Amino acid sequence: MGELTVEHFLFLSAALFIIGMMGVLTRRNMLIILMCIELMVAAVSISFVAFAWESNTLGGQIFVLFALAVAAAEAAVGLGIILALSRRGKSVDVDDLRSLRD
Amino acid sequence: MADLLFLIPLLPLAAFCINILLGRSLIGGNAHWVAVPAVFGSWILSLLVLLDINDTEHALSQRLFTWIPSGDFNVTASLYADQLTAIMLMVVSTVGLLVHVYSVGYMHGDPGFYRFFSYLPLFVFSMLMLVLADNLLVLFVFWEAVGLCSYLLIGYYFRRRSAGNAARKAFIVNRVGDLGFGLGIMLAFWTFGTISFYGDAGIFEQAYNHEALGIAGGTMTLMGILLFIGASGKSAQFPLHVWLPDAMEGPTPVSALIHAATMVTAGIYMVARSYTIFISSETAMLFVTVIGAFTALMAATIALTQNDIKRIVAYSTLSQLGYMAFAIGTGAWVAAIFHLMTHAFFKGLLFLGCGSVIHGMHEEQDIQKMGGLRKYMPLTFWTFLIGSLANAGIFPLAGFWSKDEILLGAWISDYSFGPFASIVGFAAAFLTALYMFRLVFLVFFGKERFDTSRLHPHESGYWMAVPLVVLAVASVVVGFVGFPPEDGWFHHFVHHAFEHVEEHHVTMTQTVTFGVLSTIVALGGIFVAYLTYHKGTISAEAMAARFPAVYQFLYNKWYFDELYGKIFVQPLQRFSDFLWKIVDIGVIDAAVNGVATGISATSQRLRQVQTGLVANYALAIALGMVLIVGVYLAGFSNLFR
Repeated sequence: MGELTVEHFLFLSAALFIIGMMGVLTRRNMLIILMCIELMVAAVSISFVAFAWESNTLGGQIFVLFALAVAAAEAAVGLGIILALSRRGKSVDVDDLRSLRD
Repeated sequence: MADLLFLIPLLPLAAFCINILLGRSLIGGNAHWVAVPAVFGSWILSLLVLLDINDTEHALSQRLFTWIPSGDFNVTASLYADQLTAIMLMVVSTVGLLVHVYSVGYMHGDPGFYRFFSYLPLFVFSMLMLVLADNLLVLFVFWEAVGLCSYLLIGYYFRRRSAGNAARKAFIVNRVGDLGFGLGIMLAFWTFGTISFYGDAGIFEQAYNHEALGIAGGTMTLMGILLFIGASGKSAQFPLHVWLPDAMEGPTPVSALIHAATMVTAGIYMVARSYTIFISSETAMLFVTVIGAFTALMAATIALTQNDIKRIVAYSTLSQLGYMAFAIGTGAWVAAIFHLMTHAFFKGLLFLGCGSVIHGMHEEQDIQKMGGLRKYMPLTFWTFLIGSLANAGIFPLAGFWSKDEILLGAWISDYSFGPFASIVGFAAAFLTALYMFRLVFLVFFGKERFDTSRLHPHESGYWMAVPLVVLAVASVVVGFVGFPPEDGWFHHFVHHAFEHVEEHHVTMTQTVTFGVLSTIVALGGIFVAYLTYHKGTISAEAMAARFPAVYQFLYNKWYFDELYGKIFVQPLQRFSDFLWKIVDIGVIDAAVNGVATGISATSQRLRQVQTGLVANYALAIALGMVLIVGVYLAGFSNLFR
């Protein structure tokens, strides 16, 4: 095992992002899609921290704190919408939500 | 007085504006209380203008405003009244006023009453402006305006298909003439560099001095011919005469005012106005003479066989306009204007008489279905008889003096073709007396040829009777303003407008000879009509049966309508059909519709993309992102280098 470099972090970040994206694209359950989005946000946060660590600055770290706070708020709003939709349509399947088209 | 010139046309214009704007809602059946006083005001002012010019012997002019200021080309809207204008003003406003009064009775109860009394003052306004114009452009504008009024009034009964067709025919045939007039105006501007009539730099003074100014004689000939083509459209000369008989579809007062007394004389007026152009070219004068003499004779022959009372009088108008034209062509300028004036009165009278007959006969116009009306409508009979005698040229009525002067003027003309025109004029005078008295005998004498138990002809009311009487008196006395012949008040007055031509001087012998000759010819015509249509010594039917070709030829109006139909109308219609069915539907519509169909079909395909499934949109976003990042990495970073 060699030294820990920024590339390792970036590979982890990329892997997490792709996992999240695939989840968003393939799953139909709104809750899981929301969780996958959170995964993608987390992946981006990791790359922020990685670059901050590599360049020895604090800007990236601080940015991540903001991103976490915003992600938490977003999760709250997202969950609220899902709850409202599931109550209205008795379903959390995104394929049932086609009213934009018609 | 000059400061008040603008009021003459303004009053009828105001009447038009009031009636057309408020007529439908407020005025309705009282529209004549607006129109008649306005025209009466114009009449009073015209009379004052005439007296003023007669006193001072100076023309009046009033500058209104600069219409087109454009570098060297300045057009001012000005009014100009000389002796010729004064006579025209009197003719237009007098006949206009009487026709207005007559129309009150004739159009009573018509649903379009206010509309009629809007168009009629509009016409009077346009016609007054036409004669007051002091440059070619203003003249042309109002030349078109009277054409528009004519169109509106011919098509007044627009629900009737024939009226609409007649209105369009009049408009289109006049366009042909106006093309010539327009080209003539352009040529005049091109040659003289101005379109103003008067002053030393005006076109007429320049035309008179054209040799000193180095203007080619050919230019003057062409200009004269082009202007006369314009005149022959409006004044219904051969070959553009075909619209006038059809124009009888309009209400009868309109026929009297526009298509007998005033508008159709606008062409004669215009030629008389530009006389210096015509006297500069003998060829142009010959052209005018030939057209005029031919029209005079042709129209008279057609009038012999027609059966519609108004059409006979219309062909008579054509014939009399032909007289005026060949009078101009042979240089008898004053006689032409004299005949214009007397003709306005007696032809206006004849048309109003026709209107009275048609009114009394409950819209019957076929003279073969009349007869014996003398005892039903005595006033109409006597006035119509006076008009007919005047038209036939019987001493001492108005038509006698003016027609005699034209025939004599043509005979003693400086031009070699004058005497020929005079002979044609005598022939037409015989026919005039014949067809006028054929009409009189068939309508007013003999037995009733209609069902007396069902149809009761009646005399017309006061509104219609008064103008008839006034015009009948005028038809008797108005000729005396030109007495003694070639030396009367009229000649000395009007000659100021033709100062570059010599006054005709005639001897007593010539006057008496021609007077006796033309009276004999006219009496001969009346006598033949008496034998044929009253006594029955000569049978008209037998004559028609003996010369069927001639009869058919005349009855069908020399086949002019058919000829024009074959030469112009049908090819044009086929060409229009081609443009409609092939070019419009096949090319233009197809292109527009093709584009629309194409867009619609493409859109149908494209809208399949919008599935409404969130997953599809998300996939599209992701793929797009991959694409952008891929391009960025491949092109702008050194990762793969």
